[in-house]
Amino acid sequence: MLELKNISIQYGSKYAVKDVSIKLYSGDWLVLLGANGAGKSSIINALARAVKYTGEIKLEGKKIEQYSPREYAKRVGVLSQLHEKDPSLSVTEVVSLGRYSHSKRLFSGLSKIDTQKVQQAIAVTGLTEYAERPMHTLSGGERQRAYLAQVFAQDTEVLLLDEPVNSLDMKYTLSLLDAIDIWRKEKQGIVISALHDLSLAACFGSRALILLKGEQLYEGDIKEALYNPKIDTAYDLPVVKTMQDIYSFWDTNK
Amino acid sequence: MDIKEGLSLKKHIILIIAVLISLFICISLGSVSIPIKETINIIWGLLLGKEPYGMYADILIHVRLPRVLSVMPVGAALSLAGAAMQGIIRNPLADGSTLGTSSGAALGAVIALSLGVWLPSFPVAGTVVFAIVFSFISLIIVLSLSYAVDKLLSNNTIILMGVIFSMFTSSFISLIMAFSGERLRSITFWTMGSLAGSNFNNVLLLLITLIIAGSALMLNARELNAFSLGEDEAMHIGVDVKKTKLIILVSVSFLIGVSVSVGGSIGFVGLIVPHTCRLLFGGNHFKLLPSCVYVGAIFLLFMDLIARTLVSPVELPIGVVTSFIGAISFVIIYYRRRKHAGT
Repeated sequence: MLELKNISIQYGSKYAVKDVSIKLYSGDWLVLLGANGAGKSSIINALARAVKYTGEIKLEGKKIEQYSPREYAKRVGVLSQLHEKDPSLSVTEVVSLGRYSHSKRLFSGLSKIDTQKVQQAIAVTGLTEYAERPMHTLSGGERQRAYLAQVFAQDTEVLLLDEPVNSLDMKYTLSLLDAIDIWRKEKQGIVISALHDLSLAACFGSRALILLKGEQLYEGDIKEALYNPKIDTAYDLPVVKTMQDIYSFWDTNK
Repeated sequence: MDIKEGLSLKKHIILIIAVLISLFICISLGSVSIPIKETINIIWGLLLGKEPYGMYADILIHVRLPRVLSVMPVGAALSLAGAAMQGIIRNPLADGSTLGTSSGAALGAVIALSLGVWLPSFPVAGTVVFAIVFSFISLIIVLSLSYAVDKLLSNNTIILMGVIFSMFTSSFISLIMAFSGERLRSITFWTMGSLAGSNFNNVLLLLITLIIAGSALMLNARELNAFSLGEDEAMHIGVDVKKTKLIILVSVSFLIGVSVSVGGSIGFVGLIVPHTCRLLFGGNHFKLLPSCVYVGAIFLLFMDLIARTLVSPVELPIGVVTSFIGAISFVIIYYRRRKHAGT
């Protein structure tokens, strides 16, 4: 169980997140909803222990600050937006780094279990034929899958997604989110994601947290959240009507 | 199938043989050329515990051997330091000379020299300690100034800060030199870089530093690989970012500080060698770091040979030779990077 209690995050004197509380259980996929600057990434960063916050975040009953870097990495993995810069490493080398927190080896080489997990992760993400290719020779979608394979190899219970499908085309977006969904169901893991696309949020999410300027407007089931008038306030437009208008093209051209 | 990350045994052996061949070439050649056969005889005799005699043996044992034996670890140390710095700040142009670390170390050495700081039984101790401390302080100053200006630590910012810092320390060095009187000659030595007149004490000091700091870096090769994904990404997979940075920066300071205090500022080695190794062996630090040790040793051996023989009997400072070649390589690397990444 992952519990956020009265979380606030401040940058200077400005609040990015104010008094957010939520409890998450195995198998939950929480979608953070809100306009740009609503505080979605800040919450993800707090969970990734990358920003300071006030309040309390507990994982399995223990405050997250009490975990060592390695112990925390065994439990929580992060997939961010695709970086511009890429390491001069091969796909296998990048995925192997996912085993960092599990490996006890001082020098090079991976144990049998580590090797197995790495190869599994590469297979699950469909990268077997790219395994030895250097990262910079892959397309954006393939690179992002390599980073997903790294997180899978990390073998965590919680997965944080910070706009992971930005800059990916439709096919890669769906295959990436599908792979995560399968992982969540099999492992009964917790996923927390910031996703811009509300249709994708509806497809994959199970719960939602609506944010407006860092404040929590609504927390509950994703389908209810998307039809709740509070989401109109959060995005400052009539969400349901707008989405129906945008996608009406597909209905009329059947 | 197993996943292997380090250099294969075959590559280790090939590189070791390459180092030994370079070593033989460089102790045979010089203002006086010693025939290869003679060189082998003398070295063989030395290994068997005999005391070879004659003019060739004198030159070889008392002049060339201590020199090439210090050149090799200096080349290895500077290359390792460059590779580690490039890894930790994800910037292929980072190096002791571009980050101002070498000039910081030189300033330390010059201060120690002009104040006459030394220990009775170990004359280089004062300059060594000062050089190490100053190179560490320089690294911290340049990196924190760059970070204050630009949180992303982009190429341009770091190099600009490094250059400004180098100019600042150089002006200090000039100032000290102006007031140093008869010590001027030995101080001029530091600013140009030369390994003439090295002795076996220096060799020992260099080897110990190389082994300790080199092992510390090798033990952090996996962390350096993680840093190549980005600092946040390294943290996400469980790397203790602060601890790793501290270990690497301290190791780098030792490597550069000791190299500079023995050989003066020899620029750009840490830029050229890791770049070449990355092209030859890939960016994985389990391969990059050991290959830098071998290739760095070979590279500096030949740079030293050029310095000794190009306009013989006059000897060029080795720093002049490496800077000449290094500056050209810098432009090439920078140009290629800009063309690729636009950073």
